[in-house]
Amino acid sequence: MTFPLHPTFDALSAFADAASDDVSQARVQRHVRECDACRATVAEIRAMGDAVRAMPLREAPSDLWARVAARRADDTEVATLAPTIGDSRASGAPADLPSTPGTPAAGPDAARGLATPRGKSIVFGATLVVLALATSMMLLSRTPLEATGLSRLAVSPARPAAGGTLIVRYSPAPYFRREPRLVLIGRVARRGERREAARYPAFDADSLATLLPQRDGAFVARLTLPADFRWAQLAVVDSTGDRMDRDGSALWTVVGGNADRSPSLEALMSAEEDRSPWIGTFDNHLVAGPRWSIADTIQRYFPGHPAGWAYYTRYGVRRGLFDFLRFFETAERKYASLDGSLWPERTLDADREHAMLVFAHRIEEPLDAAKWANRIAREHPDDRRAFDDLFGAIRHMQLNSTAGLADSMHAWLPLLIDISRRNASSLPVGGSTDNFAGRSRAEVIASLAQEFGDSTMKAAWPIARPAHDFIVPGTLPRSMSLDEERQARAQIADPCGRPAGRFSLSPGTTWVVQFCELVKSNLLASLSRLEAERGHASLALTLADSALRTTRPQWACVTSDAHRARARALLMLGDSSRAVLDLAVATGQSLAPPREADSLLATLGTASVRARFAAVADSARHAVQQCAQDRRQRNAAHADSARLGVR
Amino acid sequence: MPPLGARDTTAEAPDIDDSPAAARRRQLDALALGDDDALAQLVAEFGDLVYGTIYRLTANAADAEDAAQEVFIRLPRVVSGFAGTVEQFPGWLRRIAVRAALMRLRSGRRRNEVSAESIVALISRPDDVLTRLTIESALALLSVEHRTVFLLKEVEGYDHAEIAELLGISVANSEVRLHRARRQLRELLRDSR
Repeated sequence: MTFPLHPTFDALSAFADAASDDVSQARVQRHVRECDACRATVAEIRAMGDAVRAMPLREAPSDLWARVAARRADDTEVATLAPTIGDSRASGAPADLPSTPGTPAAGPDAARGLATPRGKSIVFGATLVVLALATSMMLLSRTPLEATGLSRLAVSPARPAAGGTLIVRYSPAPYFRREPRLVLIGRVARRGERREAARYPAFDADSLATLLPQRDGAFVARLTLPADFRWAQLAVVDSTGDRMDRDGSALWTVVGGNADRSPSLEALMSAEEDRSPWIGTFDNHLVAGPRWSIADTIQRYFPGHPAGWAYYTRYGVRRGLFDFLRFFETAERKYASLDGSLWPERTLDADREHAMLVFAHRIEEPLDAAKWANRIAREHPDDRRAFDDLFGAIRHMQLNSTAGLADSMHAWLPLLIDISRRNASSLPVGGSTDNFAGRSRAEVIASLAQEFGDSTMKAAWPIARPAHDFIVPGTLPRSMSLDEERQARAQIADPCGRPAGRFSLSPGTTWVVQFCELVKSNLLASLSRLEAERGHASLALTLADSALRTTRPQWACVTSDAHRARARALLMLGDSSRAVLDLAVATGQSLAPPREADSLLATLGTASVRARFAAVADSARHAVQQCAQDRRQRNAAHADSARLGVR
Repeated sequence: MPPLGARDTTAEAPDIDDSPAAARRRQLDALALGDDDALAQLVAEFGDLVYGTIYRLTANAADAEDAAQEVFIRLPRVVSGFAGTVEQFPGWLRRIAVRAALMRLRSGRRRNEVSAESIVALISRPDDVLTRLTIESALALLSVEHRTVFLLKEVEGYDHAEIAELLGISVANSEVRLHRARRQLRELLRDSR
């Protein structure tokens, strides 16, 4: 039986989907039952469905998890472009949350008429102009060293809570790809802990975890964080500690958050202020994003806090689009705005006062820095930063020859003394105060008292450090205090090898060991001189011999201190002929020959002694020159090997 | 400081209830708390499902990769909204993947990438008997609108009302797109024979 009219393809298509008892399809169903062609079409339609359902699913890329982990870490910290900081934060919604689609914001733009087509076109045109300008400036000003792309180290969660687990995933640098395992090293800072500045490079990092290779080539470690975790600085080394990978010139920094994963201002401030003084100070990027620093995070989540601006490092137009947009919010304007709102507040916490002081220093306003330092000293004299802040402000004014400093010192000097007595007066002065960094508080107060104090003050705070030398008094003020002597003897007794479970965060293991040996040698020479001053000639000679026997690194070309110490001891023991030889070596190695050599030669001055002295000095001079040349060549080779991670 | 020694990355806490359903529930609970291990396991288990579903709809590897990453990145935040049984989880996840793919298609952020199959299909002459279009390459030649409706209906099992809601179109429009997609597919496949 045939039908004059076949159902349309659409009707057959609808029939193919319909349930068998669908009465609306009864007519088509009757036709299809009788018509071979239409039945074939329906079968064809259904077969296409079957075929497409039978299609195997594409396999996901093998590194899907690596990418998810990296982006997860990245997304947590990375802020949106948000050139107008205040606007994007007013809602309180984190910028990394997805926006709700289909809900256009009826914000202030609409009220200003910018939502009209004409307004939009004006805004769009202006935006294009700004972007074009910014892009051109970015292309011109971008530095080749600027980090781009994702960090090789990803952590999850990006803002770990104290007591939680941190998963560290490391995509190895080329020189680490074949390693069977790597070591995650670093410093883990805890609440209430303030790390002291180490005087010398040392094995200052803990071995935190073993990074094990994964199928996709990455290395993974899991780290259980302490219950009072604040922040950590991380690096990756091989088992010897001589090869390291880190975040450019800085370490990878992970700052802990609160239990609800929100950022912790306390931890961020601690990470900003208490990290090691020589690593990462100028490059405070977080692991989560190469472009986003601790200061960025503070700005983003604590927009009213001055620390986000005080520690921000990218004002100006040197680094591209972001800075270009920030050009409209210069540091000076921001400082003035914060100063206007914060200064009148009756009670202010030390963090904000300190941040305002740092900010004032950053924009070269020493008087404003002094204003804030004075406020911290008066309102928070027990704060650990109070002394350094006030002394730093005073020193800054000194260096800038700021008018009125002498008048202010009448009030500031007693304040400084009071603070030093209140909190941890044995701590050395912090690193922000030029050549006073590392000196004791008593020393810096004494120096200020001698310059600005009255006679009573000068008498109460004498310069304690004696300046004398054994042979030529006054030339080398190196005599040790009792405390220094105690430290020196302890350091000499300590072995220089790398302790188990410890690594160095700055130079490699070999270098630290060599440096330690060199310091030991110098300390032995200093102790030799000290014993000579005390009249212990034999002991002085023994110490000087030990100094010269200590293994010195190849790059340490000069041993004049030890030779001079031995010469001094030999002279005390009456062995002037051997003393001459040591002095000859010291003379050959020194740019300024020791004056004691002249006096000694004048005393002993036979021609043969003079000739021998000259020959030994010449030989020593040539040896030093050769050593320096070798060192230059090694440094050049080291620059090459630095690309291979060898430190 | 107590030693923060190396941790065994393979160590796991012992499970109390060993049933797969209980294990899955624990896994989802852990995921909701932001546990990265749980997420890593789900990526390993459902990565192909999510990526494959999205790829099928977007027909673009780069888009699929981006969207799959989005799904898994957002999963810890949205998993608390999953109220079904653990057996329903794959289906729920698949629906999320579909929505992610549709968002990708709508977003205008699509990567400018053409799949190898579609290139082969485009350069192949229909009368070339040696080159037969597979259903996959024929799908790649459909317009995005038609392919999307076809796949949502045939593969993902949505009805026209759901498709209309997902795509913001009318039910009638959804039906029309489906029929047209089928007709074009049929012609493409016929031409290639």
